[in-house]
Amino acid sequence: MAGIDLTATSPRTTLDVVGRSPASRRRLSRAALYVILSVIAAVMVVPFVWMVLTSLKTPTDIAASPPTFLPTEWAWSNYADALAAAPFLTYARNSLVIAVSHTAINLLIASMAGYALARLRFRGSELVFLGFVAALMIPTYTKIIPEFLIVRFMPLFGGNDILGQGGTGWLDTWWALIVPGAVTPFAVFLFRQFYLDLPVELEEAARLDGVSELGIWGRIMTPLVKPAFITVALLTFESSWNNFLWPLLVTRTDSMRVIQVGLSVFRTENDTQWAFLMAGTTLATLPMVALFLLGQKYFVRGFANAGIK
Amino acid sequence: MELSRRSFLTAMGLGTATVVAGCSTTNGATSPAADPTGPVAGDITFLCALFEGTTGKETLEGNLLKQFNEKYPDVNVTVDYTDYGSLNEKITTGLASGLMPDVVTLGVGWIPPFAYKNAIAPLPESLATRYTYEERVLEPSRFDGQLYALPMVLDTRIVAYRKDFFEEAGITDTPKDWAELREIAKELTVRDGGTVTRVGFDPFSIDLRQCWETFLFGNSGELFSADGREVLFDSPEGVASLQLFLDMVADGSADFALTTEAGQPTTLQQGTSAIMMTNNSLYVQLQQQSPELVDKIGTFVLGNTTPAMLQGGTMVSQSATSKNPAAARALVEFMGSPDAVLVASEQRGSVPAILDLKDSDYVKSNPMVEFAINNLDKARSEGGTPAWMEIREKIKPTLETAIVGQQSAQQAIDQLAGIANDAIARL
Amino acid sequence: MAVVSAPRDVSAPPATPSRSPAPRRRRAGAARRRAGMLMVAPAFLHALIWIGIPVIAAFVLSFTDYDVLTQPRFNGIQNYVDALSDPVFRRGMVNTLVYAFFTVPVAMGIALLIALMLDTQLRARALFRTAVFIPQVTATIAVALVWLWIYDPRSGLLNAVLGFFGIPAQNWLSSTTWAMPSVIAVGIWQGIGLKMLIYLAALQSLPKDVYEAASVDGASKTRQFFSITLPLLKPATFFVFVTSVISAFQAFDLIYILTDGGPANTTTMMTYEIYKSAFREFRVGYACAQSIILFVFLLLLTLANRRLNGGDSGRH
Repeated sequence: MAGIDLTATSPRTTLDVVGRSPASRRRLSRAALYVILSVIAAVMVVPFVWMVLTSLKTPTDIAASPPTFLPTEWAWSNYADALAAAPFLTYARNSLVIAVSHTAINLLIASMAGYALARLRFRGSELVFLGFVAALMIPTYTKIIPEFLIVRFMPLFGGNDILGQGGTGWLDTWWALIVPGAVTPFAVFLFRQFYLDLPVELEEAARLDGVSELGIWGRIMTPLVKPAFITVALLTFESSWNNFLWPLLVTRTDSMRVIQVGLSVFRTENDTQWAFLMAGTTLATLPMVALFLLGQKYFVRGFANAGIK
Repeated sequence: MELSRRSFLTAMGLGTATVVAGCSTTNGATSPAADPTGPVAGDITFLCALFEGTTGKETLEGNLLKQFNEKYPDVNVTVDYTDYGSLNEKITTGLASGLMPDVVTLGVGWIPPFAYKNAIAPLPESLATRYTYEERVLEPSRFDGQLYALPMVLDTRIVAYRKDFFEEAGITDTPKDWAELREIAKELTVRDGGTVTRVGFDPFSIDLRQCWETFLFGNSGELFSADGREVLFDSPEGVASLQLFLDMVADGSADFALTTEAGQPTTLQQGTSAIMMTNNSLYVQLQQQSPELVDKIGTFVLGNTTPAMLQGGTMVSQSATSKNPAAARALVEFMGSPDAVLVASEQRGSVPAILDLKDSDYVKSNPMVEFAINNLDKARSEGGTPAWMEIREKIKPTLETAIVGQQSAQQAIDQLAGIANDAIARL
Repeated sequence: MAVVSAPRDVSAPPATPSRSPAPRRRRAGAARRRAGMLMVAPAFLHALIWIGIPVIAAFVLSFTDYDVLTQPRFNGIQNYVDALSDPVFRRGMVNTLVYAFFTVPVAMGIALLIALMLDTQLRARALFRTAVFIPQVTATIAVALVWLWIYDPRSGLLNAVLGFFGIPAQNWLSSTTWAMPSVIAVGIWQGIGLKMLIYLAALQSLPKDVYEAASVDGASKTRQFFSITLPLLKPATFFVFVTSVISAFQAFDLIYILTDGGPANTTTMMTYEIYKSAFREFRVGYACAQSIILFVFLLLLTLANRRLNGGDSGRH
């Protein structure tokens, strides 16, 4: 219920420019908007800021009680020490390869599927769509053992025979790291929802011009849902970049491991090296923040903006 | 259309069958114990929850395994590093797929379940007498009288206290039993107005399960019967061990909300507790975070009727399905040797499991480790039943119901005993 | 659920181009359907192998006593009986529902509100957007550790801030009263970024012509929001709702680090119990049965939402 109340107030604060003196009203609502956004931004960012500050503290500072907000001594060396604690360059490269592959494959295959499910209905397409939604509902921890077994018994790989016996299948290979997570039902679902509302006239006109269905998808419709592509790209990249358990399970050699596995070095059975963990996590998060800053640029044409102009 | 649909379903069915069948390809109860008489050669995998990070890898592969390979040049060891938190997942998937690593590190309490289900191979008794071990230390490595693992590093739960607070209050001796503990804790509790600013005793910063077990053993209680088939903790001793928490919370000398996370400064360092249950790794933490407190913190072993110190730790075992059992056995023996045990302990500030290492520089340099190794005769371990994995997870939440006041100590212990009996009955 | 089916019956604004598909032409239809199937095929096959097979396997195993160590033995519906009669798992079900009930609508409302505010030409919008998205991209382990510190009853930030306003300190995570609200707060906080991003993307794709027409007609901004924006956001809202409910039902990392399900099981969730059964207790067959129960829960919720919502497409 709270949801409705909150959304109901938004148009008033942001959009309502009807008033006696439109210019001053607009300025006032602008100021209010900045204040509200700043408060929200602060709440969202405080834990991140705390993380960065902790990454710059010495062990004695971390032990200070009550804790100090700023480090008394800026321990920049934490970053060098954290990076030296594990082969992070290799780990980051592996994570990057996985995240980029996942993003590229997901964008292509999931958007095709999402488009077809939205616009090219066929017998059973509704069922297929529901299947994708249902696929989202399986908890990771339920799938993980069977998925592991599929990887391990993958026929004709890693010394396995045609029945998948005898070897190790895809274990400890890039296949295992990339293929199982390459296409997500989440992305198929999201793309479908975005393709749903495009005007049908464009599609019809292109069809009359003799453009193939694949061409309509790739050249006509897809450019209209760029924000969906950016969203899927950001989210796919983010989740494979932050993935931990699956890469740990299916690899054995250190050179195949990923960045989150590297970060687990700082949390052992009875100790957590906070400064290093936070330094490592900060470094691991920065690429994502940069990507987001780049990606969000494409979210520019706001209807609110159009209304205010 | 029909045809493709049928072949499609067939392919699906086959895939599923492979997966389900995959679940059955595990060693199971039928496989014979690995025969270690073959040549000490071949490729083996070592699933290792120790030696993390660059320095750990350098120690293990750059130093230890080099020595091992000098002795056994035909063995090729692949180390699969994992963090302790994911060890379960690694072992579960390994077992499910029939690719259990040849050599694995396991925790205390894991041996009976794994040995019972024939997942790990028995070791010759001679390995138990090769070096000097405290018999208590080997207890968790045994099942049904057989040795299944070699202990490497131990982590003990000890009691640490602030000497300066004791001095201020004029207390000269550490408590001999619970009555004295409660007296001292009450005396050392500091209140500012209505709120407690320092508790006398902090039992909540270590895992509740382990703390309760420490009290239970210190009260001459037992978890299970020797064969692991009977619950013994629902005795008056077990109930009293839980009641101790409740009593101390009730009189304000302990506080359930006052805990710290691993790596955070402990309540003892913050001065918000005077006595706390802790781990011997506290010493390393003190050196890093509060060097000024190093001399102000003392340790003792608590007991009510008998002093008891809970022992956790990491052991090394051999898979029952190893294809190169002789090589796997050789690696287990090597990882259990003083050379490997010492560097492993040193890397994580733990207690070496071999008594011969008492005089090593490392032990001499770490007073809490030295304290623990000198008290290993009082060490007790959790587990002891093949159903331990199931029971273990239920202990903390069930005991908590009493701590937060949902039911009495007796009721909580009875409930836990019921859960444990069910788990044992499922064996 | 009523929340997302919110838009009142709104007649399409005048001058809106027809948004319903032209009547299917039989001739072109077959080619389109074939193209549709071919385009879905790769994703479908992938899901079939990597999700379909595991699900069927989990279903089969849910009727066995599989424990990884020994051969699975068929034990009928014993696992289901055990799961449904286990007070802790039942507690997990209730907690999961409570968690989803509070995190999903609240986070969705806040996310939409923020998306609307950020879908503008504000000067610092990139910074604001990034700030809101940051919790999403930071590894949960670090996030949860920071929240542990915020909730610390003695030295934590939250009690310090509340103390500043004269509000008494609470034992957030160790109190049976406050642990769940504390976890929910972090859940809402963490989930806003993703929802905001999807709403923001959806707002970008709204056709401008509709608003221009409405402005000409003199519709107020508030009216425009309810009669145009919300209905057009219906596909996005359906998506956000379904994925939020699912992720709320699968909340795991936060619980794992913040409370470990405690105190006294007050914050345990279904997924957490599934994880413990499978990987800490090695009761894989039992965990599979618990998962099937979770799956049925979610399926019912989604179908109910679709029914209540009367489909999810703006054009039907």
